[in-house]
Amino acid sequence: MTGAVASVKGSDIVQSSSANISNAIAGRIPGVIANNRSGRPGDDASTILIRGFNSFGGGTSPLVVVDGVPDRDFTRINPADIENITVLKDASAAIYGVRSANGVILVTTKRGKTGKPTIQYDGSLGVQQLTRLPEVVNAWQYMTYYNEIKPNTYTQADIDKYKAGNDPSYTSTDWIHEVFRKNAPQTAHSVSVSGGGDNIKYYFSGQYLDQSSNFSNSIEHYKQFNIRSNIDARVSKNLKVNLDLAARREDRVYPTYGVNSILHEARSLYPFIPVRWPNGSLSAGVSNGRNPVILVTGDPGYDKIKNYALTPLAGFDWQLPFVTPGLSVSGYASYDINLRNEKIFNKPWDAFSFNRTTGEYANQKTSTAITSITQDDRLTYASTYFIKLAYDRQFGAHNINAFAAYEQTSSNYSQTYAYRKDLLSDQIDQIFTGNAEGQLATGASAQDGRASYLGRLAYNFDNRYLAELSFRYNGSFNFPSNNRWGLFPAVTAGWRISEEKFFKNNINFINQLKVRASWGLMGSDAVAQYLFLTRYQLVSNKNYYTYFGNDYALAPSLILSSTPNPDITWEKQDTRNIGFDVTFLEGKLNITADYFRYLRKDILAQRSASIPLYTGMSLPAENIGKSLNRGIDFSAVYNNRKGALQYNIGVNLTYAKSKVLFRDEAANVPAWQRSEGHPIDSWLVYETNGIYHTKEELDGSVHLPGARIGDLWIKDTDGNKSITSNDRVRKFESATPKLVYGLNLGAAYKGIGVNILLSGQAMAKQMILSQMQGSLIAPPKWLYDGRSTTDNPQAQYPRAFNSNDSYNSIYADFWLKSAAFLRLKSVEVSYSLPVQVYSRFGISSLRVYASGYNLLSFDNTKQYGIDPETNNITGVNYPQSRIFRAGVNVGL
Amino acid sequence: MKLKILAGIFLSNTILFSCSKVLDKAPLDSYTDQSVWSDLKLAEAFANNIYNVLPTCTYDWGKSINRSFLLSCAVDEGYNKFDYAGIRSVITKGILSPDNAGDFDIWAKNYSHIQNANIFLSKIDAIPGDEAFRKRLKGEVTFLRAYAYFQLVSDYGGVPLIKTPFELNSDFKVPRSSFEETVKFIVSELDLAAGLLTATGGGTATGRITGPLALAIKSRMLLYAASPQWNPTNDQAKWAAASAAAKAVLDLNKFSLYSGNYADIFTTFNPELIGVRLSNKQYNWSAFAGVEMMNYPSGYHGWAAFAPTQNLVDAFGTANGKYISDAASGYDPQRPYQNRDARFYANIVFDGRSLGNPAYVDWRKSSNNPDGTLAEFFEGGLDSPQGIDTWNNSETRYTFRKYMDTTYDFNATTQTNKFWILSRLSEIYLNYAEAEFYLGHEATARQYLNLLRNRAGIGVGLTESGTDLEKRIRNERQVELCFEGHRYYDVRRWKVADVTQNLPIGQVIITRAQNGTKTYQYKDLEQRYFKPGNYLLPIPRTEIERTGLPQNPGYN
Repeated sequence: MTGAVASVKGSDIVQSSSANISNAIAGRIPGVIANNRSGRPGDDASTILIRGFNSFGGGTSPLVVVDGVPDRDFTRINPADIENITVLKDASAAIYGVRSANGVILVTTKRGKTGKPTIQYDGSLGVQQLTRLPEVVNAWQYMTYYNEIKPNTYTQADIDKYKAGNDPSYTSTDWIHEVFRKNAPQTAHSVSVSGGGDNIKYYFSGQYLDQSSNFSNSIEHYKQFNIRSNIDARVSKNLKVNLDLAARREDRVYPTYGVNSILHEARSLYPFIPVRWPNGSLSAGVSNGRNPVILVTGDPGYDKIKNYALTPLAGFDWQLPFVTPGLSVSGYASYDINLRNEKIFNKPWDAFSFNRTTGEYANQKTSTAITSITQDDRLTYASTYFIKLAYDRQFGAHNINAFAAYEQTSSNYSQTYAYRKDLLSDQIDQIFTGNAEGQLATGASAQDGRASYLGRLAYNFDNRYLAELSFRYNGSFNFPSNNRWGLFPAVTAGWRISEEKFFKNNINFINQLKVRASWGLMGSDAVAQYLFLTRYQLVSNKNYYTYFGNDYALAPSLILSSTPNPDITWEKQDTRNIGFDVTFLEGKLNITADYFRYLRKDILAQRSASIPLYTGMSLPAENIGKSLNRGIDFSAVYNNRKGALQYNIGVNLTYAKSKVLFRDEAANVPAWQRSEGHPIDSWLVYETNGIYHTKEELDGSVHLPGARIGDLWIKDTDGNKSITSNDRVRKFESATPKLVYGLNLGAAYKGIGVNILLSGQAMAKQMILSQMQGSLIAPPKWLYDGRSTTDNPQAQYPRAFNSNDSYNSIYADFWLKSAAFLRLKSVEVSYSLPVQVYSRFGISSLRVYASGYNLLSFDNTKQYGIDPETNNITGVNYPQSRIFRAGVNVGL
Repeated sequence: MKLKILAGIFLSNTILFSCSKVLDKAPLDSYTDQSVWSDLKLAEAFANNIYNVLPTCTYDWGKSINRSFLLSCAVDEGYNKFDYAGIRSVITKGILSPDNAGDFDIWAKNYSHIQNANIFLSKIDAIPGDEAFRKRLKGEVTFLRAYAYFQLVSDYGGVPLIKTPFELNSDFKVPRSSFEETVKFIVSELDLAAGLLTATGGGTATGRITGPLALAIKSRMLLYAASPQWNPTNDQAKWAAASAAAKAVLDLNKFSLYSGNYADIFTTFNPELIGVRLSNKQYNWSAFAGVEMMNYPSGYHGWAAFAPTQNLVDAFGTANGKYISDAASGYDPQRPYQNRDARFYANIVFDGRSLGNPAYVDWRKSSNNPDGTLAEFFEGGLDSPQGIDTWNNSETRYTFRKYMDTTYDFNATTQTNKFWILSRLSEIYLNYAEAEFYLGHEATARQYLNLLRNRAGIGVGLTESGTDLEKRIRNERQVELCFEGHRYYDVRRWKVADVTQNLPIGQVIITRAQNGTKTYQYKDLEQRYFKPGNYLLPIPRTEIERTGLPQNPGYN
């Protein structure tokens, strides 16, 4: 192997308690930057970058290839089915052509092995908890805070009553803690059967996963069912065929209100409104019955999304020794189907208002919602054909490995959408009971296609000198027909110095040493479709509908999707990598290190910063950007055994720093706001000297008109004696870290096993500013306690403010906090019971384990009640999860 | 040999696969350039989208180009509790800058419609088909482009005049034209549109642009251009042009003042309307989010989003036609809602008035409010901060009655169809009266004001003259056209905003004694600020950074 390639085994992946595989690779693979932004069941995937950012207009996500088929979702595969996950980081990915530049993740599923059939069962029970929840103010603090924003909003008499807390009708509600619960169960069962003889090998498996939500009394729920059958058959001496069938059903049940609306409501609702009135009836919130405790339940209806993924693949491998030894033809075809079926049922719910003066309750049900049904079916079918002619042979010290292949992929998408409201009754949740008046029926369609000729020639001499030459000649539907084919070549080379005599004879503390280098030209076509065409689309945003006539009839209207760019082409990346692999201590210590340099050209971005707004154009992406991304990744693994104790220690580290070489920026943008010469990702913020503590500070500095003591002290960067957006400065750290690392510890002793994974990141910053969420947002305790008031001008934080405050609710370095952390990502303790205990029951292995995910975190954001991995500025989102789990593996 | 056969198989497979034209995937969701510009029906659909340059009632969280109701809250007639588009935290706080106009800014939005109109106008002549249909479409789009410039010139003064479409490789440099050049272009385009539309009979469907509407907007444009803001020397020729433009609309004799129930002018199609933009109830973003929901008092589960101020309430005279400040008016601040101008009752919801249908307000019913329809803005009342849905209570203790359909159950059924008035005959009367006044024709001015006052039930004719008459003209305009998007521009073109918009806006706090007696306390709700620069909006800084265009005064 001569490229920068890293992988993780399936046995490591199953150690993670997280239901989503993307979370299991964080910290495991050098070069991979994975960040989890939410732990919401069914919506808990990590964003993955390979060696950081290279583009700022087009996509940055790697291509995922599962068992040879691109674009399959790997995050929901049964973890027990994964043989390994391999990441191609450098020019070794160039063979994926126009989709390779962001790196490639290859996922391989398990197959049967020759031998006795084995049955493996794994079952676990877990509890999910939220890693962090903000502590917010109580009723009297809320009233005090908002009185400071707008005097006399609340009377002192009322505040005093809430403060005294001895009047049962003056209570305080902590809405966030009412909406969430501490523990939410999670269950998973999986079973597999595998084995095979000389002619047939098989691997069958099934998985059931059931995740509840941390919303209290909520209908929110995620379930997943996976089945798989990978069969290999030897038809004749030279011909093998395989048939892989996998199917998955994902069931998501969500409340009708979106998670962000519910949490916005929970943070914006007055704490002095109770969840329930004295008579036990649920309160109506502040308007339209939007009490978030109700919104998470099934009372307002439901939003059910069922996703069915069917991924069949048939392949063959025909060895042709009768033509010439080492020659073979192989190929496969797949027809993936994904059906997403969504049904939303809205109905009014009971919620009461209470009139304090008359003591009467009134049901606000009529104003909560009207009944409606939405059905939304989306069907995607994708096909892949691959055929390969390979030649694999050794002549003395010369090893040749070559192939030529053709690949073709296409997909087709269609959506059917139907809506009816004013159902006959909310007793039957079926669309035919809705009113034809106001009904809506519509849909959408899309398709894509790519074709490629590819090949590789690998040669090594005596296992000392290794070289590989590869190319892909790739065509993409997404570019004009006269300009849609591109050639993506790559060269990699390696030298196993340790095989040289001079080395072998002189250096014996090094067992193996290989140096590698690679170069490749890679492409990325991850950009909106059809930008080369002038396209007119029907207006589908209701806010821009047009009506004519005495009956207000809807008139069709067309919009130009964007100004065409006939010259569009793919992004190109000059990808270079050098690295070495070295082994010490008789193979116990393995170290791999790589340095990379990616020069991305023709980055697809809009000239949205320089073209005047008065042109009125809606801009297409153009090939205008250029960036350089450099960094290192490194891993060291030490394995040893001492008597019955077997242990391993692994560390890995990734550092990637990008630099913009050209980006569209306005002609007159000030130097301190330019991103050219700096990393791609940044925050644009006002710099501050903290907050104003004294009148002298205020009077003696340039400030916004109307600024007061307790406001942010914004620096007049441009020195023009007034605070304008010109004063904002770019800060080149974002929520995506530039440095990530992992530490792996494992030990096994007489059936007892311990595996620990710590993962961390540094050089990342996140804005934390809850008040930007809204005008009624309840401030967190830390902001309340530390706020500036007339009595406490020497405070740490600004005076009381909300989202309408243009002095403090602004992007400022004051609110920018380090997102560095070191967290105990995963721990597993297991015990394999001695065979004699259960062998008479026909059981061949029995192992019990307990594990945890996100158990501990050392970071800077704990004081704000925010998980350091968030990228949500106001913190009003479904937080990350911590999971405790116990389970059993049984082998038969 | 075998190798060759195999190579043959391999290659033929490859060719077989690639023959399926896997790369020729046309978009399935769009029309091509060729089809749109060869079919008048598709060209019409493209023109329909440009109608979005017009203001509408359709609610979009205050984000869209449609500042319809929002404009009222940017001036002393309205109060927007929720600070949509930064209306209170920025605009009326006097801290507007090139950085923070946010969704209140219309620069880019209008120019995107202008680009679309320019594309349309560059293509329309070559499309085969019915000549009259083509001319009609051309007239509509010509109007819509002129309307975009009318909005731009009203907000920014002279702007870059762009008449042909841009492409990616165009030269983007265009200087700002002067105010006069911009107005000249708008007026000539409106004349052109009026000609095209009149000649073809115009779009007959309600909501389409017509020739008379083009003339009505021309009247407003020329009135603005003759006003003190743009006519510091009081050039009489400008007033004469404004007068003639208004007269031209009157002389069409197509429209008449509506003589039925005044409030119905705003909810039913009637002969006073010159142009409207429609919004259909079925397509609101939510079944509830219509004009009634936005404006009803909180105790009805409305949002009171755009609430009338005490300042506007005080602008309504008494039934005998006098200002409330006039001792002869009979106005009593402790019985403030008695004997007022009929238009007060048609436009404002105030404490103790009846609103809504008793069948649909069950939750409001109590011994004090037996059928539930009485608005309760008094402290502790249903529509007060102590009532129902307290997020939404009206802080001024008023809501708008104008535009509201009060007959149906807006909580259980969907909203009403609604139109936004682009121009109505009353405005033309007021335009004409004002222009005539400045030309010294006071009798004509009084005559047209009296027509409006008579319609509102005020029998006594006006006798005022000079500055009193000027004040009356401005008061009539404030009252008659309240909540229709006029006052924001009127206080600017009269050059009075630095006085009127630097005052606090008021609210009334009503306390109700045990015996039912109410006392009225008039308070300042919010201080408003207006800086000299605020007569115009700033051009967004990001545009200045791109183009180096000269910024408007007060914003550098």
